[in-house]
Amino acid sequence: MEWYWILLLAGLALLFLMMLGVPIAFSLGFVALGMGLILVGPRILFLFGTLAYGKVNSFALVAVPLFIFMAEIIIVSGAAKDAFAMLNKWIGGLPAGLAIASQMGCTLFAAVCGASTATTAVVGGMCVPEMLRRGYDKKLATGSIAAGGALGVLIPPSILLIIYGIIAETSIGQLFIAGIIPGLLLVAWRVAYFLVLAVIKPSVAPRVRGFTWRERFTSLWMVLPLAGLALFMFGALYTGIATPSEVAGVGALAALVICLCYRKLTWQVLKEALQKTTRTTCFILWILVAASAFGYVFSYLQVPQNLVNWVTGLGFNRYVVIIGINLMLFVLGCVMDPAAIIMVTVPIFAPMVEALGFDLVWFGIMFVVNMELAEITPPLGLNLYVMKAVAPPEVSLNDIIKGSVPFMILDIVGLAMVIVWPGLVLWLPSLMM
Amino acid sequence: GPAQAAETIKLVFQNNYPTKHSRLGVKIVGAWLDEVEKASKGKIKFERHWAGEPLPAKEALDGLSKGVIDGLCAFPPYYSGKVAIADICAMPQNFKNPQDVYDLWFNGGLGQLVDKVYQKRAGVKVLFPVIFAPENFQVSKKAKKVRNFADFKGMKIRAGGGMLMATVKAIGASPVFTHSGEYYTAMQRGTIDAGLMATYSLETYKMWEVADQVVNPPIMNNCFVLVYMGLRRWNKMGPELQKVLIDSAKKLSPSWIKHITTDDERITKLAQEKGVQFYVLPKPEQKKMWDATESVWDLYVKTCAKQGAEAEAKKIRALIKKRFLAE
Amino acid sequence: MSFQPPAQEPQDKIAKVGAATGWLAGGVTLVMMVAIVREVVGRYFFHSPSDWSLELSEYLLVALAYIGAPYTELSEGNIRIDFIYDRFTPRLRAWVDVFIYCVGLLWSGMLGWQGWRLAWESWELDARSSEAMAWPLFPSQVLVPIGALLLCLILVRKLVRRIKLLASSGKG
Ligand code: NA
Ligand code: NA
Repeated sequence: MEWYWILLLAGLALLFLMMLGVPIAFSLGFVALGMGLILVGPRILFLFGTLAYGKVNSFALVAVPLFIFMAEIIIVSGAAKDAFAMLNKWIGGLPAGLAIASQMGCTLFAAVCGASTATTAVVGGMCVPEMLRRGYDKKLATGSIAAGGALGVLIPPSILLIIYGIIAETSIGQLFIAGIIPGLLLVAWRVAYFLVLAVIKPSVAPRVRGFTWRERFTSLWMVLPLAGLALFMFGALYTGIATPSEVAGVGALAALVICLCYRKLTWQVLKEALQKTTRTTCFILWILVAASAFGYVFSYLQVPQNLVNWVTGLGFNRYVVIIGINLMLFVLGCVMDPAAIIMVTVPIFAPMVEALGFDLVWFGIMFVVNMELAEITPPLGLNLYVMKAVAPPEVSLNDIIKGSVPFMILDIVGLAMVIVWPGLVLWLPSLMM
Repeated sequence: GPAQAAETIKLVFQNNYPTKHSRLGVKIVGAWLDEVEKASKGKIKFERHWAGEPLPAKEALDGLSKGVIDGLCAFPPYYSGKVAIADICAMPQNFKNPQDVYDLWFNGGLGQLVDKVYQKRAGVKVLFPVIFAPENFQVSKKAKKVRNFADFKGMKIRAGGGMLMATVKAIGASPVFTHSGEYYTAMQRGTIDAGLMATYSLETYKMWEVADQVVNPPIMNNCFVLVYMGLRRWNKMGPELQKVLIDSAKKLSPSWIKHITTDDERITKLAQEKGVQFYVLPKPEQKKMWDATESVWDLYVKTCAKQGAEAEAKKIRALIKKRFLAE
Repeated sequence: MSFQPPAQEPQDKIAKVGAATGWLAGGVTLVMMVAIVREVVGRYFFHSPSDWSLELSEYLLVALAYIGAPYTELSEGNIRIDFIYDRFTPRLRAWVDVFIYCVGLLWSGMLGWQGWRLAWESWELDARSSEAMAWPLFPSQVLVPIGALLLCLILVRKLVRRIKLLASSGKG
């Protein structure tokens, strides 16, 4: 069967199953299984066994349950609530104050966490309930943080940049530095959008007035536990005491200490936090296994390779090629997990892009900015599902997807800027040379 | 024509290294794939997978023996828990020069010994080694520099599993595990004092930004990866194509040796310009290092014995030692 | 709909066991935490990194992913897109459920079967991990088929309930 038929039919089958309500992990696995059996034969089956074990048996993923557990413990301790009460008194009166604050939260957390799922789970779990309580529109609250959580892979440390660096043989140190400005640029766009929205449609982001300066100053202590946790994790990471994967373990312990100080740590609370950790981690890892099965059967059938060769074979101007690559990544980003996309396409893209005279550090950042988008595009947008898992039950997946649409557009604008002005990416690393 | 196409054997080949890898990418492993396709006159066609897909690196050998893929290029210590016989690819006192690797492998009986154990334990055929580099200690800018053997004591050194870790322990240092993506930052921030790494990583991972000393002689002289084939697939190939697969590697190996030698010279010069010192341990200190690492070879034989390959391990030890000591 | 109230499923022994495996599987997170803190503190303050911290954490992550799978399914934690599903009639929903559980059974059954093949080979060869501790692979790899099998049991139970429901409403 021709590769484009496989791409089309598999995409349609996936869409059908997902829309019918089949869990994401089962849909991906089932289509991978069907494709593999029909187009390759039984020899492919053992691949699923190796992926089920090998994809999960990985130290890079150990941070995922630890960060989720940390977030759960912080939420039950009440420290997140306190911090938000304080923020509300200080900036709740500004237009879209809390939305801006939660975006800052994503940025800060992204500086200690290398995964977008964990960033979404932590910031979403803490901020969304508080924003909804204060009358924020649920689409805005969840959409903005699902998009913001993707900063986890753009602002260093980043799992995706590490994978890219290894495959494209570029300096991971330079990639990390190069990701900072584009990350902040995306944040700036989102903040600008919040401000415009707060003026045009104030009901989605209600302002809270009437706090006295005395109330504000006496509330300052309330942010201390959370700020202390953040500082502690920063310190451990940037002094070299802990590696990026280890900082999650250190942070989880600190969260337990905070919860203990708040006198909220009971047996029941711990049990529930552990159950939630299990549920969120399991569904993420099961999707990851199924998504790699799907991606690798695709690759086995040479679908992404053919797609890439087809586009490059068209022989266009180098900027047309870059736009073509981005369109292709957007399509793949809808159905494949970003890590799998990097592993399958970068080996083919990197030499080609270099031959066209582009810088590989720049290309890596552009790639990951595109993957920011992939994290929130359905049907396979892991951040959307993580958000669904951590948001209060009245938020539907539909709300989250609809809420993410404006941020997809903002991400595309950010992506365009990165393409048009490579200096945004390359300026900071050039200072380090 | 169509008749010819019907005869073509499609082989799914997984390289655990990316296309751009300076030693194991398209230039070397890819050149072999091209050579085989050419020499077999189109009877063999590879479907090429780079950078560790579709199978996860650690489970790739299992997948190979079960026929998910047909060929594999991988670093043997990934599988030492199952087959440790090829751990010699990254051990102290191994091969004096790159030529020794191929000479011992193809003409000295080393290849048959390794292959026999792999066939029995893992159901795969070992085709040939591809040497990629010596591995030395790279010392972080933040750490005290090494002057003599005793300086290794207590250093925190990054090393992968198995014999690499045993080597670090044998010289009195503490092995630290960080996954490869975190190596750069760990060196930069002083989480670790040093790493046991190939010279080319100075350039490819820009380690010269964070390390300012490389200790010579390399504790592991000529490290290699292996190229494997599923045993059942191999047996079905027929003698003519089997010969093509092996002979293509024999034909290319001199150019591989030349490539890594000149490339390492180039990188060393660049690194020196960037302020990296290539420090040579004084002769008596070298001897202390070699004596200390004798225990790694004991461990090698012990591990292989547990896997039912004691005789082969002892033979290999004797074979390599003889060459290493020869002047 | 993704997190259905557990009231929909019977509060029997299986549900209780499921809840227990939920926090037990999550409990490995605490062990990982201790292992990592031990590694960081030992390495930085006492110059004595551990051999086992990294490997133990990896093993435990497998345990969490697979022993936690039945609980995740029991508590409707496997995220799905439900805005179309929610508009179906209850009867159609029951039919779709039957289809969903069959899809889940096929995938999970396949992971269990193939995961078992991987684990069994390791058992036969006494294969070890290739990292520092050289722990046997079988106890860790066998968690994949165990978890997948438990998940299958939960799915079969749900499937039988839906079929019974459809059969009884068909008569009525
Ligand atoms: Na990050
Ligand atoms: Na997506």
